[in-house]
Amino acid sequence: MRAPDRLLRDLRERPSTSDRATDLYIAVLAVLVFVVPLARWATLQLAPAMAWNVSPMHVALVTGALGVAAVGAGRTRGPVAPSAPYIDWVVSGPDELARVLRPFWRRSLAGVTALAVVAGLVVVASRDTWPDPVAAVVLAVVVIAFGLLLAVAWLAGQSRLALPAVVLVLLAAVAGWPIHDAWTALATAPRWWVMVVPVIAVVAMLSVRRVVVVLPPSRLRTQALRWSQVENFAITADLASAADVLRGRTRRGRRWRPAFGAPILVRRDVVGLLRSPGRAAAGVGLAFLSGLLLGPAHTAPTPIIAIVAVALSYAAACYLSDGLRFTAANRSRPPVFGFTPARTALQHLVVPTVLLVVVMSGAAAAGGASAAGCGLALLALACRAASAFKGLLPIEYLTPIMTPVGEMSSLRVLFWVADAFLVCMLVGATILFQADLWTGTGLLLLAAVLVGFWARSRWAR
Amino acid sequence: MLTVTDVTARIDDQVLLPPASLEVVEGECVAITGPNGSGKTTLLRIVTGRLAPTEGEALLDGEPVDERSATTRASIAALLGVPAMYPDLTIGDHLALVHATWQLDAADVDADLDRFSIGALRDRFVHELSSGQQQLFSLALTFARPARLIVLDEPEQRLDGHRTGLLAEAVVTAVAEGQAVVMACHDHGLVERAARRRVEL
Repeated sequence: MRAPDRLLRDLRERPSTSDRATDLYIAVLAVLVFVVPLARWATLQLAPAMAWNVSPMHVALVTGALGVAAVGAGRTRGPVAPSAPYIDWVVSGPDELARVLRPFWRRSLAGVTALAVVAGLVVVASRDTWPDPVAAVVLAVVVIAFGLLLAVAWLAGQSRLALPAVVLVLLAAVAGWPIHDAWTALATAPRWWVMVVPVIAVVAMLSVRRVVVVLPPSRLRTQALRWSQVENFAITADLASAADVLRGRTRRGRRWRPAFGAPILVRRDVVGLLRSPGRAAAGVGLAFLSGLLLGPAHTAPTPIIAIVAVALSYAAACYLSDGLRFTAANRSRPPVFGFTPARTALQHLVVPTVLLVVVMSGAAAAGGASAAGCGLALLALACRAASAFKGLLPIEYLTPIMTPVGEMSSLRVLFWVADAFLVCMLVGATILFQADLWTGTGLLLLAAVLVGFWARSRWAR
Repeated sequence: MLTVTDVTARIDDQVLLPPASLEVVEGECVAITGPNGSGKTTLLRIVTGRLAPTEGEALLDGEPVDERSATTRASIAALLGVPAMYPDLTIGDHLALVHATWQLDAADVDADLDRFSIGALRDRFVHELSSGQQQLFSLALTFARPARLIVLDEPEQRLDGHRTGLLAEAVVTAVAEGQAVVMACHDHGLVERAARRRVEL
């Protein structure tokens, strides 16, 4: 251990050991309350899906998407995540960057590996027969190696190394084939060619040092400060401000002022999306993926596809409704524009509504579920509006609620934060999974109208 | 020691820093002055390797300045904006940490505090300081670490006349010990007292 780290450890030992006991208690509680039930639920939901003949291409799509997500996450908060003061006073020292930053990388690597192990356990536990033991070990090795590959992709995203990031995403996608084969071999005997994934992972790990040393400390500092702001906003349940911190800076189209026949705030939203192409592409892409899943969601033996489709549609609505969020977040401030708040909100609804309905219906047409795409788009947007219009967390929600099983105010805050999202997930996924196409569409539209009234009541309040 | 030749900084067609040049040798203090928005902070970010110039080059001992280089980090101490501080460490702890990072004598922490007359604040946490005290503490941290070049962005902000005098003394002492200082400054008194040369942007 280096001298500054030793000193920090000594200084940190000043608080009583009860602090550490509390940390341990919270960690164990989080595992028992969240991880175990979630893993159990995922196991139960995956079990019927095991009867499905999932093609390697589908697995490759999922693993490739995970690779893209890892690279994207790295741009916001990478695996090398020291705190801002540590960067200012320790990383700025004379030691080699690779040496100073190594412990942070290893910590994140351990986390990713643990996640990969849990995911592998859930998948294996979802089977209704005992797997071949050797094939199970091979699958475990392949899954852990894939986790390592994702961790390196995460790091490449943080380092903004375009070529390595693209190569790692492609490798993650290609790894879908051996993962598929390692999975299907559980019922028979191991297929050794799948061990190509650990080989690729080891090669990727060998490049880590070179990727770490190109990380500029100022970028680490920016990420650390930004993330600290996000945590502060999240603690006070102000997710809109937290999202605002994370959004990328607009750099394009500073002189682009199109004049076309549309209300001024509709034009603003169009210009805003065009000036943030990444945000617009993410919103449209998520809406498209959601629409594509609607056809299979009706026929799948598990609700997981419906749940994913609804979650994607809600995320797409968040990406595309920036003007709405901005208006809602600033409603309590003295007005600057000459529109009534209601007119402002209505104009900000136009662009996301048109985009979501067109993209989701179009994509859902591939599975013959265009109408459901339209219904889900409207429900997602209504829920998004209900979430945006809720205002700031009522201060009384922070009052402790003592119960025999512990203090529960955080649970109330959690429900307050996620209420519209939970409504969207519960109502949308249940309708998609349980109802037939046309009944489901009707129910989705009805739910969208009801949630729209809920949003309006929040706005009026 | 530090040679900055015709550096510029632009984002698209927006000019953050018009062409600027600077030459600093050991044992001198150069003040960068100019109105708000003239590019003083941008120039300092280029000098410390935190921003790559759009054009031109910044060299330290003939090598491009790059914050990823251990040599650059060992050579330059910089106070650009508000530094990050641990909320759970006292002022004395922070200075001890800087000393541990640079393998300095821990006993010298007192001298670092006394340089800016903040010895009485040794056991305070950062949130217990006034804004002026925070600035003094940031300066103490910056001057505490060994460096050949000290870069300061408006170090006089939020300081009263007496404390500005302490800052001038610290700069003069550093220069006398062979360190180079580059500071962006709006305080003409400080510039007159501490800087040998002035570069107007």
